[in-house]
Amino acid sequence: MQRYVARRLFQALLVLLGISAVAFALTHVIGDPVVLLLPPFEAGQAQVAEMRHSLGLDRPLLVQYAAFVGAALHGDFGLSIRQNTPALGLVLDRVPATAELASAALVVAVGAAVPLGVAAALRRRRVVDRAALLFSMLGQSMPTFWLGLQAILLFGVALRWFPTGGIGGFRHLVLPAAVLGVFSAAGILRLTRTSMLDVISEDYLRTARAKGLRETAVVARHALRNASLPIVTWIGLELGTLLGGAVVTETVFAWPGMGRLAVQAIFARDFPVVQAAVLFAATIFVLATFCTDLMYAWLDPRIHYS
Amino acid sequence: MAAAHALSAAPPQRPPWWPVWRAAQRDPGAWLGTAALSGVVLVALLAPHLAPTDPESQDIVHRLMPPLSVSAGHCFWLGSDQLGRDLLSRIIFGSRISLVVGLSAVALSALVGTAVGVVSGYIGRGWDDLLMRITDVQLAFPSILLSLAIVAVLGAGVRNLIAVLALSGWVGYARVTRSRVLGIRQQEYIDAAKTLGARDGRIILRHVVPNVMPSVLTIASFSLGGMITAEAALTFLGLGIPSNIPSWGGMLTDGAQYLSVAWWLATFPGAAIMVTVLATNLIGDWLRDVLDPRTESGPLR
Amino acid sequence: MTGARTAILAAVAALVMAGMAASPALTPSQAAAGGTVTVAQGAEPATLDPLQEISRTGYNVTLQIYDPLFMRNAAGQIVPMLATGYKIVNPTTWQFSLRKGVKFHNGEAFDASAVKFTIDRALLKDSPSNYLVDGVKSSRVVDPYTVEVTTANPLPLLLPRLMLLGIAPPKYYQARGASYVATHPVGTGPYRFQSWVKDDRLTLAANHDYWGGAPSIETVVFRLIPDPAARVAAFRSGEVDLITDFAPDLVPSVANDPRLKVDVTTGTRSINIMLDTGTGPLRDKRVRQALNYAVDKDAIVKNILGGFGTVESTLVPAAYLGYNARLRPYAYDPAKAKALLAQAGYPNGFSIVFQSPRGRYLADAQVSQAVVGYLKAAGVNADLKYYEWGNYVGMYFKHQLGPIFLIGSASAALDAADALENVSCGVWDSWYCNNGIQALYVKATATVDPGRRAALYREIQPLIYDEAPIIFMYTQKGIYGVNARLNWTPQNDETLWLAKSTVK
Repeated sequence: MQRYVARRLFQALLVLLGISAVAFALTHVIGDPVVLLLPPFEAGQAQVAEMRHSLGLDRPLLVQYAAFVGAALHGDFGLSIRQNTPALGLVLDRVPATAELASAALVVAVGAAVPLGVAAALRRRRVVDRAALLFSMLGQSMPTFWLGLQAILLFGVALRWFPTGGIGGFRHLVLPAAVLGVFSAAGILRLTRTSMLDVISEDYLRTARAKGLRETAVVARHALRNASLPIVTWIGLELGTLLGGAVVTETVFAWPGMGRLAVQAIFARDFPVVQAAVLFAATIFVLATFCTDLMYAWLDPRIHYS
Repeated sequence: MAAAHALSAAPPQRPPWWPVWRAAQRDPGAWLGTAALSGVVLVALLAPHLAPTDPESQDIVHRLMPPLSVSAGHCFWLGSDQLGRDLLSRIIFGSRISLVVGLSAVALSALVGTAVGVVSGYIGRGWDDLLMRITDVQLAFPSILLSLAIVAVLGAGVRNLIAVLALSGWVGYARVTRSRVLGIRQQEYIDAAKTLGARDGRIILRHVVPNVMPSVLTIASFSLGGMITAEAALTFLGLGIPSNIPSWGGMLTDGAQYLSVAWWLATFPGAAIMVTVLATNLIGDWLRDVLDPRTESGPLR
Repeated sequence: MTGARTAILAAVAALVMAGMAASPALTPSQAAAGGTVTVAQGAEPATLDPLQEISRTGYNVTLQIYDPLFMRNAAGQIVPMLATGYKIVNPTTWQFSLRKGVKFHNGEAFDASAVKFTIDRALLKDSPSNYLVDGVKSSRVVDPYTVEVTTANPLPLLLPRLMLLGIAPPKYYQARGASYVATHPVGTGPYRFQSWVKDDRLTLAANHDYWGGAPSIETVVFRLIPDPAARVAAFRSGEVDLITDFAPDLVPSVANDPRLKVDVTTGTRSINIMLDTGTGPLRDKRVRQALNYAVDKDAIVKNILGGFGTVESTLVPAAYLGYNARLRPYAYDPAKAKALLAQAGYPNGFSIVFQSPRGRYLADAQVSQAVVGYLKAAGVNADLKYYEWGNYVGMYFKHQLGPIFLIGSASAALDAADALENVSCGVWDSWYCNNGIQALYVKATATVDPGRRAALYREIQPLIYDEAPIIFMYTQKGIYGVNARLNWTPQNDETLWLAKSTVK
């Protein structure tokens, strides 16, 4: 098991290095930083060269990259061009909001999809199953922002049940979390259903039933437990996707999260913030995958005992 | 004589497409999906003949007219948009952009992804490690942000959009193909072919690729819907296809502003997107049941 | 093994829950219903340093916290704020007498050194507020309540320009540094800064010691809702009491609601399509005139703006001093446009890049698209490119926009000089230069007497009209959504000041 863990750790570090390289390259393509920072149009050649030197842009690329990585390890991504404050700080300020949204969406998705998926598997080809499949189809076919805007009009303006946007208490969270969770719910639902279907027909379940155990006991203790591993893995991946999907939801609901910050930074050519946001999100993702791998290692006896 | 009779009484030969036919009968969704998708493709192909007017001609005096309004001598079947353009014509022509972008992105990502997966799985060792780390890096990047950043740099436009969408999609193919290839590589007929002296390239082409195609097709049909939705999302965030060219995503984005005063602007393009994506999902489901019944890989991102 | 698996599942669930609980409880300021007013804007200030933030959306916030020397009231008259009066000692020297007994929110006393500090900072070469003190040479403290400002040439517009300059506390700046001040502003204004959740909302609390009398509204919240439809939705649902830049197309959606009003001002923001007259086909006057004939401005104002605009003959709106009422706007004449283009040597038109912001001005994206459509009908293929506002305004300041782009300009002074600057020589915000017109312009801006100044402006305008250095478009009206519970009327010069407003 140690070897497995060590190898995975090494791979994770390699991935992080790769990500940093891409983030570095990206912003050097986003636009000549000097042009972005220069004062109005009186700057002459000498000033341009001086600024280039002070930013360290005249050093060879590899040196710049090394400096970038070194600074990044200290959490220094430079100052945001628009706001003149440390870029990483801006990103970290927004992380709680995105985390709140993503976790709430996940709770909604899992809370709705898993029971529905189980029910659909148990009552195959009946109404529940058809309805569940229909819901999952629709959920995966609708663009998130479209759904969000409809939800705002219906629940926010017409019915006035929920606020139309912004962050606040629980009521502000409901609509964005539900909208963000729909797509994930659709996927989790299908996965739960198929995993359960795979497991239900197994012999040992027939034995359990034959022994006289009640249906719910059979389902809960045996079927769901065995079906859960792929579901849990999927949920781990979903978290990463949710962080990405949050970008659109945050924009529609004016939710002050990391995704919206990144989009604005991209438009504003604010490359320190873009770098910080992208690297941060990627690091979280790599950490999450690494933890999932660890969990696998522990749960899968073939690896656990090796 | 009796032998001939006995022979003629043997059960009829099933045509080779029989299993597929049976599967389709069991799954009416597949029919619906195929019919819908073919409909969309037909509309895209015949667009200039089907659309009542030029989708780009503006007429700001007749903007925001509701569906079925008649003015200036012709009928706005689905209404007119915020610049007076006929919505029906724009939806008809929009199918072209959505399909071209979607299909090209899918084709490109499938090609690249499958190639990477096959190489990775077949050759293995160093290449495998390298390629898999690259897919890890790609996966770790939030794809929307990556797409936005690239389009922000390279500029909006159909070609760049296709490239960016393909970039966010190839990983799924790579992963799945690789695991299939790993499975196939152990098979005896590969060993047999090798002993017979067949070169790797030939083996890949004649044995590996056909075995991998079912999974690829399944993923492809799901991701077509995903690409169309992703294009809409990118347009919504502000970087997509320039807005005079009719695209469903662009129309949906613009129409979203008018939900409270001109519902038709967003409803019809939204319906078009949903129908198309639903169709591809139904087809994908059916393909998965037919070709790939036991894999639970799902649409990997 | 089974117990372990359950434990893992439970742990995952717990982690998710913990993630939710750990995020800070962010609650909106729930002041009593009568005491809080919420304003929604499409952009929020990047900084609360009054000298660094120069957009209208920024001023709307900073001018509640900071006071300028003078301000315009609802009737359009200039009223004293931190300055109680002024004296013109000689044509290039002004003396301002300052209000006594005023304190900044942190207790620091207000005096002439604060004014000098602010003006000096504005005079710095890279200060965004440079344009407000354009023409000022230096400032000097005469005594604690008198400050003297010297200008390079006679500057009749100094007073109105100073209306956007919020006075900053020098000791606080020096103690804390500029970047701290950007997020913890301290001024003399009717509202003090309370909190700022970036990208979401900014909360201000009433300054009960305000020299002008404590404001009636206890809390003001500025919310950021960039999407215009979402902004209107929040307004309709009652979450937001006041919205600016109400999209004209959405005005009908609140028509039947008695709790919601739409207030319209005549408007002083002039929307124009600038032409880079130094390049390509735009060097030729006939081409520029052709472009003016090609666009149906009346149709655009009537249909896209829903009538919330006034077509202009030149770039000087009707409300400015120096407006020439005799000029008729360019007529819509596509045939003449084509003829002029052919005369200039472009019978088949030409291709050109057209840049436009999106979501800053009323229906700006649609106006640009409509214009592109008209140009195309005349044979000019404009490649339309949109930019997000923050990016766009940055490019504008760096003179990087062009060859054709849409921009709006306003004037705190309501004087034609501010509009005509866009067609003067040697400045960053002009893409045209004509020496004859420039001479007249310089003469006019140095003329102190308003009547004579206006006459000079009126003389310049037919020349500008003929030269057509821009595609003259329209003045947009100000459209505000105001909840009936809020007693506030908008001002023509876009000032949004809540100190004297009340809530029912």
